[in-house]
Amino acid sequence: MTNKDLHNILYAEDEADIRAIAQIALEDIGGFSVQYCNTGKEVLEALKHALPDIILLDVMMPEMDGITTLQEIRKVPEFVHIPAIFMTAKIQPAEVAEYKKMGVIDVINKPFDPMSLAEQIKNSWNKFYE
Amino acid sequence: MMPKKRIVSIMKIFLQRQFINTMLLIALILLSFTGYLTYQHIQNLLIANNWILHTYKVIGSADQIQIGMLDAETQLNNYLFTNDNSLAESSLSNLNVIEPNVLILRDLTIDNPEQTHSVDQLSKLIQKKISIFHNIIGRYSKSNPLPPAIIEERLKLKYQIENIISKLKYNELILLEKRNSNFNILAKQTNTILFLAALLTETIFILSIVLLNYYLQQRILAEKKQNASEAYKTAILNAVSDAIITIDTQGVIQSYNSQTIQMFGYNNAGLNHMNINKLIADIDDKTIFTIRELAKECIGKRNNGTTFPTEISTSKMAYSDADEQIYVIVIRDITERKKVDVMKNEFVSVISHELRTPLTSIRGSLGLLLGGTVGTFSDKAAKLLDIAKNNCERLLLLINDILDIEKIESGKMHFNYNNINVRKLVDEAIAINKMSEQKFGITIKVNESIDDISIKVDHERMLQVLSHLISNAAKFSHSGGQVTLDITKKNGIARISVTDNGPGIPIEFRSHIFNKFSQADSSDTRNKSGTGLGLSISKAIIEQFGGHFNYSSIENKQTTFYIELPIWNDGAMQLPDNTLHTNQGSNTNRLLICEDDEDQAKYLSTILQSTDYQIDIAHTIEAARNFITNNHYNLLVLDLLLPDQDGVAFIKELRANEKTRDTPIIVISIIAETGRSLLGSDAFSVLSWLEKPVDLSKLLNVITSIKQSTAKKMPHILQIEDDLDTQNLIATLLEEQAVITSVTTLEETRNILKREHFDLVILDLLLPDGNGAQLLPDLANYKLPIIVYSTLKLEDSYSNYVTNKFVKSKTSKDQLVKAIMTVLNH
Repeated sequence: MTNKDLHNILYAEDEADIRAIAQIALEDIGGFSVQYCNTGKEVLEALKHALPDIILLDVMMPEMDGITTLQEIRKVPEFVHIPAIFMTAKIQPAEVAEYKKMGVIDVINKPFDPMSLAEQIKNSWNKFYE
Repeated sequence: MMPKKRIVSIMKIFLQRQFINTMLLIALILLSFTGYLTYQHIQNLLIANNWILHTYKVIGSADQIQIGMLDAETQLNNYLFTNDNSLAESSLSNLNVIEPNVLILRDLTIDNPEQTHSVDQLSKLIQKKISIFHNIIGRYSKSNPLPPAIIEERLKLKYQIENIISKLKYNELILLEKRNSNFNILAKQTNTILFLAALLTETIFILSIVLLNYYLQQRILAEKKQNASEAYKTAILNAVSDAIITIDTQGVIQSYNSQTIQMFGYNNAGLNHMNINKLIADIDDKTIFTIRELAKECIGKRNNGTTFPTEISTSKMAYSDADEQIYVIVIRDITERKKVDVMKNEFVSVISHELRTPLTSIRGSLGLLLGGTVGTFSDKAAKLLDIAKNNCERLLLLINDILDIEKIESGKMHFNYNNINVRKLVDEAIAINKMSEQKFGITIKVNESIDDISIKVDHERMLQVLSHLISNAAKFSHSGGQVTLDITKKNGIARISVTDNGPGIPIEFRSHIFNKFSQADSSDTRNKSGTGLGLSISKAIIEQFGGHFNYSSIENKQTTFYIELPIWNDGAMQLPDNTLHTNQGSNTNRLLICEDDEDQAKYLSTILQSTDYQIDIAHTIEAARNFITNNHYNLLVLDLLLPDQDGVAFIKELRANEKTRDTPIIVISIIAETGRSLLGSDAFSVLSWLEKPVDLSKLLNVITSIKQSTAKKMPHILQIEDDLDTQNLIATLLEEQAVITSVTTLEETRNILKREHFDLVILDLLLPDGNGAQLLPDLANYKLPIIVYSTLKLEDSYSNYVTNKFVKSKTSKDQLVKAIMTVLNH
């Protein structure tokens, strides 16, 4: 794998407030270019138009939760290779381990620290591409 | 009219099989006899009839003779008149014919002498006649008429013959009369007998019909009752909401209730002869027969292929009529229960999520604001933002704590156990709290340490606890103070303590320090951060690890919180130095551990090695049985969930067995409480029910008390002593060798002597209500050995009453104990 630079992020989160915070954290502090989706469906739609470098998925979303969305993404051959990170309020190590098994490169806990969110993502990215 | 009950009871007698058979036999005999009688009578009738016919024959014969004679006479007369020779011949031939008739007559009357005589006479006369006739025919004719002498003779003969014949006939007629009446009588008798026979037969017949009807009626009633009772029982089985199925030893379904059909979606006949493993997905053939008492969760399979969660329990059916052993399986559909469980879990998750979501936004916003990414603030504004952020953090911690507590209390906290070096944990915990040093102006350091011991704990949770203790210590230290951590070990137990030099824990608070949401200071002006749940959670976690969590505190000086956990080195528990050696000596006490998990078994075995028992380990109940058959055990340590059979049933088995009826049993199991309630009224037969993971100190305590109670019964000592220090001294000295009751006055002594039995008295002389010596006579009455232990010296005159006397200041503890034991052992 070539060590790419992380530029584009696709972010799925149903809570508007959290999106607003994440926007500042990712765009202002992290300098990334971020596309925002409300639901899992929107993620699948968005992917058809443009492929991001990394996908951030909130786990608890209505209709299609983060896990199902990821499964749907992985079904499509073009999208299979895109790394993904779960964002979740569940912090039990057992559950976190479960999530990791599903093929995400990291699990970020909510509430997240907006000051260090970008850094966290970058670190995971770098680790993945080592 | 007889009352109904009597009729019924009489009928009951009549319905007895033996009675009926006997009666029928008698009836048969009677009928046979009657038949015989009838036969006889008819025979007689026939004979009588024959005699009557006989009479007629005789008369007939006589008549024949008479007619013959007349004919012969007439013929002769005619001959004499006509000289027709043919007439003479026919006359003669008539006469000749008479002869045989006479013979016949003779035959017929052979039984009657009188008649025979007459016949003889007749015969002679007829012979005479015949000769006369011959004479006449030869000599005389129409032209030569008969001489009067011959005519006269002929006439005379004729009259004689006729007389005889009349006489014969007359006699026969008399006989005939007799015989007729005889016949009539016989006929009447026969009639009577026939009538009686018919009557008898009909009576028997009627009785039989009545009895038979009654019997049939009773049968019908009984059947109805039986049907009703069966219907009742079937109704019960069908009303039950669980599926109840009986199977044979091959698992083939023998019977089932209506709920089974509904639950599994089969039609009525579809379940017959099916094997039960078609209904249950994940159970192998053997296991179904071994689930007993404790229900097991399995997956049920419906007819249409869908599955659902079930709880299954099996029992043996005690039914002596069955050819082979039948098992009863009860299956409960626990879909709803599972749903509720899932809902509960989801509830916690949802709460967790719902609370954290807005918190994320708040915290995030505050973080960004304070991080300066969107501009700077005035000092005041910054301060307010700071306050907001801190409280946000606090809220978050609170949520976490609440969720932790909820998990712990519902038993859903999951631990990953690992062997972890204690020093490493401590260093980590300190590192996490490094910031507190600056924040509170204190230093955190490790004082005493043993670096090579490990404990078996969940890493994260242990850190959580240590961290909490350190942060508490830091919080409650005065500025410039020091938080000290010590790692020590004793008897195989590792002890981690966190000490601070703060204000200590106020006395009023000590009793509820571990309660939820209790925080000591209401008046303290210090920053009261913390959720109030920390100690509660920490204690719960350490106890789950099988350890001890407690504190000691001196007000205004220091507080030490300590954690005690068993040492695990290289995956095995370390042997503690012996605390439980008793002088029970060479009697090998044997202990059997029945536990299928090898690690657990080793763990238990290692702990218990300090207790002087020789230990055997069995991994299945079958193996345990073998051990028990071959050895005698003083103690059994039993898990309840074992692979081949359930522990509760095994306990019942043990108690039913002579050999193990009184053996103390300790249960260590995750389902100890459930097991206890299943044993129900037999629960007392188990000494102690311990939940896994096992609390070591509890276990060791139980074993100690077992040993103590199996040791010789301890002597009961009465200590008459008002000085508390002396009381404590004696108590400590004799701790494991005697039971001590203490009284402080003469009066108390007198009272207690009346109520209880003692083996020895230790007497002080200086008592609040008088000199102890006053008791000596009383004590002598009870024939108790007395040791005087007092500051005063006992007067010599009293010495005789006393086994031994010691002056407190001059006697060493050893001397005292030795003396006491010597007295006791006599």
